[in-house]
Amino acid sequence: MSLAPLLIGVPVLAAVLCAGLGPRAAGVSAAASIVTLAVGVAVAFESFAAPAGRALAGLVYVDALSGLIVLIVALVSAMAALYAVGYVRNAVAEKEIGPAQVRWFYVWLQLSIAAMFAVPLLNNLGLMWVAIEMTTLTTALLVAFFRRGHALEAAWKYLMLGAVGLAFGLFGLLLTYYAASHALGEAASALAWDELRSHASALDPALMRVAFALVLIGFGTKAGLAPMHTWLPDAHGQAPTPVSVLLSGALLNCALYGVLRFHLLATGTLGPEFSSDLLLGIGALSIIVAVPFVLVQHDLKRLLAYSSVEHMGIVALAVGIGGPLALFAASFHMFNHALAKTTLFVAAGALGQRYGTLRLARLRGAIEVAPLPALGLVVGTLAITGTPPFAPFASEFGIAQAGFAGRPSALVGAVILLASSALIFGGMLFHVLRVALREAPVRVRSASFPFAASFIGLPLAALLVMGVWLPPALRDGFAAAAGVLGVAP
Amino acid sequence: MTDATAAVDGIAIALLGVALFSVTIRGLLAGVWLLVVQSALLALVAAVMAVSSGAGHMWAAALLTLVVRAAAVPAVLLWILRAVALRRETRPLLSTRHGLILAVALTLVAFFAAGRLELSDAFPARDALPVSLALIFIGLLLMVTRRKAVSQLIGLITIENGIFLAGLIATLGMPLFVEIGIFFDLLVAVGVTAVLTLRINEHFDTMNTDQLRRLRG
Repeated sequence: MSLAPLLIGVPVLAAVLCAGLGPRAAGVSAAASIVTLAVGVAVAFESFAAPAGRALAGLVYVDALSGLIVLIVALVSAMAALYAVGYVRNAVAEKEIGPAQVRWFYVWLQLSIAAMFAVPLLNNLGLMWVAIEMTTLTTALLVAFFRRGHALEAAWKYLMLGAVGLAFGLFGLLLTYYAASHALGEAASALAWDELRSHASALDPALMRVAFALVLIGFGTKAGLAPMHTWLPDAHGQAPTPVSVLLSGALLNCALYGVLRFHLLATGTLGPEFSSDLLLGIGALSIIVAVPFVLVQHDLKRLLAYSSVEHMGIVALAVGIGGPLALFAASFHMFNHALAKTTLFVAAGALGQRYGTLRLARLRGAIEVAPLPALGLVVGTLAITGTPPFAPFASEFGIAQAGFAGRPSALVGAVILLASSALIFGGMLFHVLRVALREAPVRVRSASFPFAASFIGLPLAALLVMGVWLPPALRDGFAAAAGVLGVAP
Repeated sequence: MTDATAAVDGIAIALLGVALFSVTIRGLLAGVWLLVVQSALLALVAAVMAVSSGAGHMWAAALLTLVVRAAAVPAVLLWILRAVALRRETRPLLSTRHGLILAVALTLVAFFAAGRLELSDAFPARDALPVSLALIFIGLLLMVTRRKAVSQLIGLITIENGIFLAGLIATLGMPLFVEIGIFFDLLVAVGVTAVLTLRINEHFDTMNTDQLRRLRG
C-alpha cells in the first residue's frame, strides 16, 4: 500500500519534467507510464490479496475495488502514453500540430493520468470529487488539442456538460456531508470513505436518497450513462486517438467508480433496493439508447464511443442486478471493456491517420491498406460484442445468467441486455466488415506506428486467453472487487 | 443567533435579486460585474457565519471566496472579454422579458421545493436554502439560453455559487481542505474554459457557441 501514492506522484513529476525538457517530453512520458504500470500492477494485486489498507495518514485508501480501477488505469494509460509517441509524431509530420506544442500534449496527458489514479486512491469523497473534476479539465484540453473546429466543439460540450454534471454531484456530496456531520460530528473525517461506510446505517435516509440521485446524475454524466451521455460520442470521436483510448478505457471507469462508492453508501443507509433499482434502470436505458446510434453510424470512432455507452450501461446494470455472480461479472466486464476499447481505438486511429478521415463511407479496403489495424478492428469488434471465446462473452453471459435468476426487474434487464447485444453485434460487425473488405481507394497517406501491433495484439490476446482460462490471480482479484461491492456495510 | 439569521436572510434575498437582474441584462461586462457582486455577497455570508458560529475555518472560506470567486475568476473573464473585443450577448434564445418570467417561475419552484425538502432545522436562515436552489436554476437557465461562451460560464459559476451558499448555511462549508480543492478546481476550470474560448474565437471568428452545432448522431 505504501507504493500507492507513487501512482499520483510519478505522473505529476513527469508532467513537470515534460514541460521543462521540451524535445524529450515523449520519452519522459513513456518512461513514466512504464513505471506507473509496474507500480499499478503491484498495488492492484496486493490489494486483491490483502484486506483494505491506508497510506499517508489515512489520505489514501485502497481496497480491492480501488485496486481493480488502479489496474485498469495503469494498463490503459501505459498503452495510451506509449501509443501517443508514434501518433503525435505522425501528427507533427502531417502538420496537424506544431513541434512546439508537443510537450504540452504530454504535460496534460500525464496530469490527466495522475488525476485518474487519484480517483480510486483518495479516501476522502470530497477529494475524490475534486480528482474527478480534474480529469474533466485536463482531458478537455486534450480533446481540443488539434484545434480543429469539430474538436473544439466537442471539448466545449464536454466541459460544460461535465461541469454541470459534477455540480450536481457536488450538491449530492454536500447532502452526504450534512448527513454525516450529524452522525459523526463536523470533522474532516466526516467525508472519509472508511469512516462513512462504517457509519452508513446512522445516516439520514431521506437525505441519502436525494444525495444518491444527485450523485448518480452527476458522476453518471462523466461515466457516459444515458440520458447524460451526449458529450461522450463527440469527445471520444474528436479526441486524438491516445486520448480516446484514455477516455474510454480509463476515465469512464473512474467516474463509474465514484457512482459505485455512493451506491455502497446508499445501500448501507437505505438497504439495497433503492440504489440498485436506479442503477439497473439507468444501465438498461444506456444499453437501449446506444442501439440506434450504433446501427446508423457514419463515423468509426463515434461507433466505438456509442459502444462505450452500451458497456458502461452493462456494468451499471450488472451492479444493479447484484449478487456474487453479477458483481463478479461486472468487475470482469469493466476490465474486458477497457482492454477491448484500447485495441479498437488504436486500430481506428491507425486507419484514421492512413485515410485522413474517420467517415465510414470513405474507409474502404482496410484489409489491403493496413492489414494489421483492419484485422484488429474486426477481431476486436467480435470480442467486444460478446462473441465466444473472447472474455466479454464470459462476463456478459454471467450478467445475463444472474439477471435471469434474479428479481423481476433484473429479468427484464437481462432480456434487454441480450436483445440489444444481438442488435449491436450485427450493427458493429456490418460497419467494420465494410471498412475492411470493400474495394480499396487508390491513394492513402503513409503513417508508421511503432509498437502499434503490440497495442492491438496484446489486449486481444489477453481477452482470448481470459475467455478460455481466467488466471487464478485475476479471478481472485475480480472476486475480491465483487466482494467489496457485495458486502453491505 | 437571531441577528445572524436575519442578516443571512437579507443577504440571501439580495443574492437572489442580483441573480435575477443578471437574467435581464445583455451586456457581458455588466454580467461579469454582477458576478463580482454575487461573490462578494457570498463572502459576506461566510463572514457572518464565521462571527455567529465562531468557526475559524469560515474566515478562511470567506477570504478564499473573496480572492477566488470575487477577484480571480472575474479577472479572467474580463481578460477574455478584452482579448476577444466582445460587448454584448446577441440573440439569446429567449427575449429578456420571457427570460425574466421564466427565472421568476423557477424561483417560485425553488421556494416550493425547498419547503418540501424539510431540512428546516438544518437551515437556520429561512431563505437561504430556497435562494441557493433558485441560484442553481437561474444558472442553468443562463447556460441553456445564452449563446456566448462567457455567458455560459457566468451561468456555470452562478450554479456553483448556489451550491456554495447551501454548503455555507447547512454545514458551515465542507472540511477546509476539500473546500480548498474545490476552489482550486474552480480556478483551473475558468482557466481551461478561457483557453478554449480563445481557441473557439480564433477558429470560428466568433464566440457564439451556436456555431458549435455540427456534431450529431
